[in-house]
Amino acid sequence: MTRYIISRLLQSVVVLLVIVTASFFIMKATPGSPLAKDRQLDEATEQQLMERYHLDKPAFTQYLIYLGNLAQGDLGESIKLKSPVSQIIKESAKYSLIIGTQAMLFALLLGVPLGLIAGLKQNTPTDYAAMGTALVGVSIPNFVLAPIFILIFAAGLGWFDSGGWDSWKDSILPSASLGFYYAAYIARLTRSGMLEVIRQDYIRTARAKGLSEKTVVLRHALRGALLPVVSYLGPAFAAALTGSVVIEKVYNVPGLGSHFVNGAFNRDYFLVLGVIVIYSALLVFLNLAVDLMYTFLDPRVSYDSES
Amino acid sequence: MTAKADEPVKGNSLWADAWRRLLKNRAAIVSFAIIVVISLIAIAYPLVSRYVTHFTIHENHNCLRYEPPGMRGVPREYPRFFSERRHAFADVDTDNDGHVTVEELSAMLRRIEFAHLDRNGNGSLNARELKRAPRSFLTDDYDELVAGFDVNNSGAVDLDEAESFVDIFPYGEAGVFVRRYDGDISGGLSASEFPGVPKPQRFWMGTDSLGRDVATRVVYGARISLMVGLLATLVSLLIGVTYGAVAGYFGGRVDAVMMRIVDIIYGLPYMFLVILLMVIFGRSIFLIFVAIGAVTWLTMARIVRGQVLSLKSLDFVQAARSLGVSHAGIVFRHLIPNALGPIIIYATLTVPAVMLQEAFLSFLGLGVQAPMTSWGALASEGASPGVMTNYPWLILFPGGAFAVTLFALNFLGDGLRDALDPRVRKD
Amino acid sequence: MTVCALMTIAVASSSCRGGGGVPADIFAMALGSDPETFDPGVMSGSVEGRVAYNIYEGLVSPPPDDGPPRPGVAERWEVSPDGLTYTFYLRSNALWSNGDPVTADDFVYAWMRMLRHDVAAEYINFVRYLKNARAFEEAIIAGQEPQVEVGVRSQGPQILVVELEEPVPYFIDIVMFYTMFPVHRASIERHGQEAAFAPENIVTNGAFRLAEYRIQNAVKLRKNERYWDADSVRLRGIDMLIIENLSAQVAAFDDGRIDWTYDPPDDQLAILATRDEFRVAPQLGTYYYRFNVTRPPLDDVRVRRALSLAVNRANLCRCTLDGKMPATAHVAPMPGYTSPTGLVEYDPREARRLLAEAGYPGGRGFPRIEILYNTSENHRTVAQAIQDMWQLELNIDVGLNNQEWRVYLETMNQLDYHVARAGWIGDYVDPNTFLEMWRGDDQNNDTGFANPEYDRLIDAGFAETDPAARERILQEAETLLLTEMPVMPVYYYAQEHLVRTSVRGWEMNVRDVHLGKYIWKE
Repeated sequence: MTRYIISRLLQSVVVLLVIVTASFFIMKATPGSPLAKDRQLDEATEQQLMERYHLDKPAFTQYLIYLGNLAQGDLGESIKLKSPVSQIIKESAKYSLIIGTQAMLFALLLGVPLGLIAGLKQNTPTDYAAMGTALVGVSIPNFVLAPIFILIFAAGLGWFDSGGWDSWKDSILPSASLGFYYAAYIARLTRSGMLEVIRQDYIRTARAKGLSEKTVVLRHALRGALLPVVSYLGPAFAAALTGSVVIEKVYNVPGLGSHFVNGAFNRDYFLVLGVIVIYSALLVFLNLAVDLMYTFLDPRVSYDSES
Repeated sequence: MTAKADEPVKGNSLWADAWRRLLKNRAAIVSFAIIVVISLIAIAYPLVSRYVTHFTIHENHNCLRYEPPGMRGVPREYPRFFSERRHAFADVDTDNDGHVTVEELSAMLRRIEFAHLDRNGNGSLNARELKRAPRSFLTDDYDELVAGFDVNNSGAVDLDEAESFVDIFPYGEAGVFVRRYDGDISGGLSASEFPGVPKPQRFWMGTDSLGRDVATRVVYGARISLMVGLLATLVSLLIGVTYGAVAGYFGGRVDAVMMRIVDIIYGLPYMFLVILLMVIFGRSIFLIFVAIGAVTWLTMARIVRGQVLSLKSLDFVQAARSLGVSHAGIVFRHLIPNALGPIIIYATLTVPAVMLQEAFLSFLGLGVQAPMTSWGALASEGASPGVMTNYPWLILFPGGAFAVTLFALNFLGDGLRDALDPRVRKD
Repeated sequence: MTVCALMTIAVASSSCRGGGGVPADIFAMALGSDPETFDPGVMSGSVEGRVAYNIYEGLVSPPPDDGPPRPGVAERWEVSPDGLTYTFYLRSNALWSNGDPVTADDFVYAWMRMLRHDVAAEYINFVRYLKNARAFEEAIIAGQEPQVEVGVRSQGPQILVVELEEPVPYFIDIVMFYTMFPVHRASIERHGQEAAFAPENIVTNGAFRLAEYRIQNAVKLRKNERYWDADSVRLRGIDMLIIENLSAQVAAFDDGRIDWTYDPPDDQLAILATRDEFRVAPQLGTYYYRFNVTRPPLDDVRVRRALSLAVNRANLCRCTLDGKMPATAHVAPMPGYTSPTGLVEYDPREARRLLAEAGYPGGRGFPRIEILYNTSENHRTVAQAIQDMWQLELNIDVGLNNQEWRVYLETMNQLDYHVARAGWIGDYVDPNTFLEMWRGDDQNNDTGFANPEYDRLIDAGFAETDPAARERILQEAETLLLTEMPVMPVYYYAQEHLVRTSVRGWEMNVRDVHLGKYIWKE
């Protein structure tokens, strides 16, 4: 197991290097300059700024400089915000992490029980009601859901502010809007996983052994049923962390996602690369965690045997 | 075909069984019908636009912005005309100079609209009739509104008083019409140029920020959304299933390398890639679904791999292997059919996800090019607290069409799943 | 409660929630994006300006209304009769937020560091008005020791003498601009050119100081007790919430989290306009379309004029753009200047005649042209309306091309377009800010338009010191511009605001600069 983890970690470094390299050159090939303004810069001023960010050098030299700095843990400076990328990420990651984690918790707490009940009571009104709710969840785009939440809970009932971030309370609406979609998704995955598992031989065996229904469901069936959910969690969590751009935009949350999009539009190379590095590292790590959880949840999967 | 030798009858009955089971699932059949109807409407868009909604997606009615459902305007591309004699040229040409000016046509249209509102035909509008005027007057108190317009204190609004609010039929509509038929650029229509008095048509779902017919746009949006959704899902299915199954089946080093490749593509700055593609090659729908499809197969691959990983150690696979069935045979005839449940579930979830991706691109200004549109683009236009409160029809209709379609797709997916899963038959 | 909730949903009224969240002695406002910097010499945007005007003070201070400039750090100033020498007399009680006195040398240092290229100043052209500035800069670029004396020097700590290369009639307006604000030399020498302006190190001289800055969240200013006029400052502080989405700004206003938002979304204007808090006034800016005069068929002035004449601006502004003023010339209306009339009009018949004269009778044979605009709901609305008018009036094929901001800038710069949307907000209240950029060699021209006669008129405008004669010269220049028509004005920008009715001392002004120093709440 340890050998497996170490080799995976080594692979991850290679993966990250490839990602950074690809991103760097894709961005260099994208038209538009980070220094462009509607009021054009004075030539001398532009030259000064180009030198400062090494933009006057050939792309490959810029790449080597960036890689060198990266190796020393220096993510560079945002061209637009003129502060260190590491500091921007540190500050904004906090918001994205809180919202992302809460959204996933919300999704799991709502989605798993909903899917479980629906799966156990297949083709009953309970099933239809649960799956109907889940359908609403996946059928409403979150950029529609979020304004509806604002209208009801902020403008209407006045329980929350419509956006911004002053205290933890401001994270509730964004987390719920973000988590709703994943909850619905997870409910559907849990239900289908449950339907798959419940018919398999080892569950029959467990039942035949005379174990109580509760034990069968919670200790045996659920483990297998959650497999698709678990393999979905990794990418979903990563997506919730950074891909929540819409939610962050609607609720004006100063998170990683808005920095990524703003950075991309502003051609703020170092900010975008910084976010990608962090995002990719997180993703690689999450996928590793998912694969490890597989071995825990499904005894039939093993990474040590070579067969 | 040659594989039939292995299991000659079973393959046939499996699909026949599935078909029978699907027919029994009423929700799935209704959903299927809905999807077929929506697809047909989308395909028939040119006819729908000409004969049903009467408007085209690109005709602006500049003075009819944000009108609620029910407002009427003069169609520019497909006008219809009153054929009755009472709306002949001489009636419109009130000063008898052989020329119909914008003002004269505008006055005529206003009389037509007035008569249209005046249900009891007494020549004046009371509060109840005025309420039917689909203008958004920003008021609840129509008695007060009547009193405001009622200069001669008759208790109702007559035609002269109605002139004071041009809104009852905007001048711009007549202007556009006259300019269109004014061949000699004389600023008016002669008897030979005059095609008849145009018949106003309803905007059944209201108008948007440029006074375009929302109903037409929703129908048109269906084309783009369905196309992007289905094609991109197909791309994602083809790549994802094959890739995931191969990785899961062979396991070990092959699996590790293949999944690392997935990780790499996952971590790529997707948006940059899309922006780059859009800028370098220009914007096209083809590129949109290629870009989306190229990204969504990743999750499909991971799910299929996970399924195959846990299926391949099962007895029936071991049995097939000991019988000497080839790798391809095992993957495509045994593993994939057994993983079909999650694949179908995920595919049906991919269609809405793809449509949302497309909406997201439109949201960033990288989706379909104006004046083309999609449901996602329409919904994102209507989705802000301000627009929702003030012009709810802009989110209600495209959002509703979007949601109903996704609902139907999901129900159908569930039905297919229940019908196709080979293990259901054991019970 | 429920009734109130329903009402709010139905009519988007804010009456159910007052400005409860903001304390009475704090003025809270929206900021459209993060300020790029707090260094007044480097900054270039309006967002940065909204911060800078409150935390710094220049020699001359912008008035709350459209009145004459107010004294700032300078108590009074004198101008020599030839318009070349300005003498500023600084007040003795002006202090930096750390207690150091503000001296004439601080201004000399602030202006010279731009010319020395110690920092990359985006508005460096303002300092280039100084005598010998260009010669000085050329020496710096060449890496030599400058042999010339730049026209800014101190005579003791409280007298600043400024000499200009040629008369600049609007120089006091320039001095009021944030680029010309003083900077604290000692802290720059201690921390460096950039770190000196980090929130933890920054030293300023305005009515407020920078208390806190959280990226994408808020800029918080608090009263500077050392400010010379601190007694008349009634606010304890200004909270600037960074809200990029325009609808979200309105929502924040309705929440009661902010007292002022300055850019409500266009699609809500009609409804917001009915509210008591809504205020609208002309802004010093023009929305216009650029024609690429190097690309056929737009190289023909008749085609350009025909396109302009086919645009019904009155209809566009009345129906499509709520509350904007149709453009009748290129220079936005401003005190002290009257634009020529009759050149920007709607006349479809004349438009068709000109188009026929140019060889495209009835639009026949006219190649397809595209309108380039950067991705934005508003630009798309205007582009579609104009596309519609051109197709309808001239029977020509017009396409739309929307590009994302940075790409759009590059495309425009490389003259790779037919027609492109653009806008210009004046930097100072003088027609020159709208006219100078159409010189053949100006970096902001981007149309390919070059006309020696036009360049001559702009130069003559600088040389002329008599205001009436100068106005005539500039009118002549604008007439030439609108006859040649490398640009097609569409409408004048308007500033639209939502200001809480309890706010006092907040006045509309053409510069759209609102100092917290004059504001209080009841």
